[in-house]
Amino acid sequence: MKIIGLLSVLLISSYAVNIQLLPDKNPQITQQDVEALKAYVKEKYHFIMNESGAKRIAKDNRILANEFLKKGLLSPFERNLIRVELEKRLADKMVKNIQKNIKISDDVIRSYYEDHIDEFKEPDKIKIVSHTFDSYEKAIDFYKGNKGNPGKKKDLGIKEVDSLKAPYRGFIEKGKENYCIPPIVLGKKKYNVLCVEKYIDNSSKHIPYPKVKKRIKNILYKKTFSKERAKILEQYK
Amino acid sequence: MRKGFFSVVTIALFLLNGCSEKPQERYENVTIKEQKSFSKKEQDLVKRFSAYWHYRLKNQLDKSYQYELPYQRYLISVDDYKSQIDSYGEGTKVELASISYISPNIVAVKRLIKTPKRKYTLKDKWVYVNGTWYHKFFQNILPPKNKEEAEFQ
Repeated sequence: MKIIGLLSVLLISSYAVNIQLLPDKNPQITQQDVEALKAYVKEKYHFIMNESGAKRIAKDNRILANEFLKKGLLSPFERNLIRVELEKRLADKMVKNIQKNIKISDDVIRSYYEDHIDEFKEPDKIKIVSHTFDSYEKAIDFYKGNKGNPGKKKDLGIKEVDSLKAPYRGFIEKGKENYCIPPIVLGKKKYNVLCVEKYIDNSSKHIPYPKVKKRIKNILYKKTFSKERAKILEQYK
Repeated sequence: MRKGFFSVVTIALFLLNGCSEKPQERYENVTIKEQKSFSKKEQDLVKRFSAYWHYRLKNQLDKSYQYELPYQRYLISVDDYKSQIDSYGEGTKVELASISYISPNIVAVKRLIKTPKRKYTLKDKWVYVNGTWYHKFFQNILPPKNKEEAEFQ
């Protein structure tokens, strides 16, 4: 029998959700494991992992977790914590699953949109060009406006300001065009200067209603979550 | 000749009767101060405003609830709604003082509250959704929780 990853068995008994955690005989990771890790990180930290990174971390976690179990370090208290976390996740999924089948009329969604119209604005965008250098001196020289070596130039096209990573985003000034931000260290002998060529100010543009319908539905589901949970519980208690 | 006269009277009575069956648009406890000519959209707002405040003043909250924004009705049950409203006293009247646009589909309506003892002005927020105006509900039992509630409570 092929054992994939940590052998976790869920048994719904009349008392609780039982979890049995055993070390894996062959700790190999599958594509499903990688996808699950990526989804988990995205959900929990709002961060999108690349494929190779996710594969490496999934494998490393698997090895360490396996060793932990082999050494018998999983205490009953730790097992209970895992169970609590799992039960909460399953309980939330149960409510969300039922909520998804509750139809919300267009008047309800549209009225939320109209009343919160300023929360649905098109994001500001910038046209950027990246210059990468192999030394800090060259990068700072370029940043200070001295003509000469432009480094490895790459047109990054138009990006949403909010989609930029933190060190870059902090240097972007609303409405300002044709300027570069100070060099950012990317790695050993890798220095990046980002230049903003154009700033597209969308602060007066609203996202059209059809594009945000699903988002509003989710907002409303979140707002009614506790009420819905209590209602569903009544059926099973 | 006599038969013709009766026919005319019958038609007139029928028309009058027909008119009286239309939804009431004027109420003894709600008046409109603004004299300017309203657009069709604003006329609809005035009608909705009048009916809404008529029901609120009469404490017919099951009816006024139907005028609240659909998403608010989705989130707040009618019983919760009733528990968050402090009713106006006997003899209170409301006058629509002015309408100002916040955005093409959102207006602030200034209203004058006239109680037997005093007069004061408050503001309403109305939102145009799929061709109908809806009132935005703000509780008036507790102090305002945010800037918007403070403005429109």
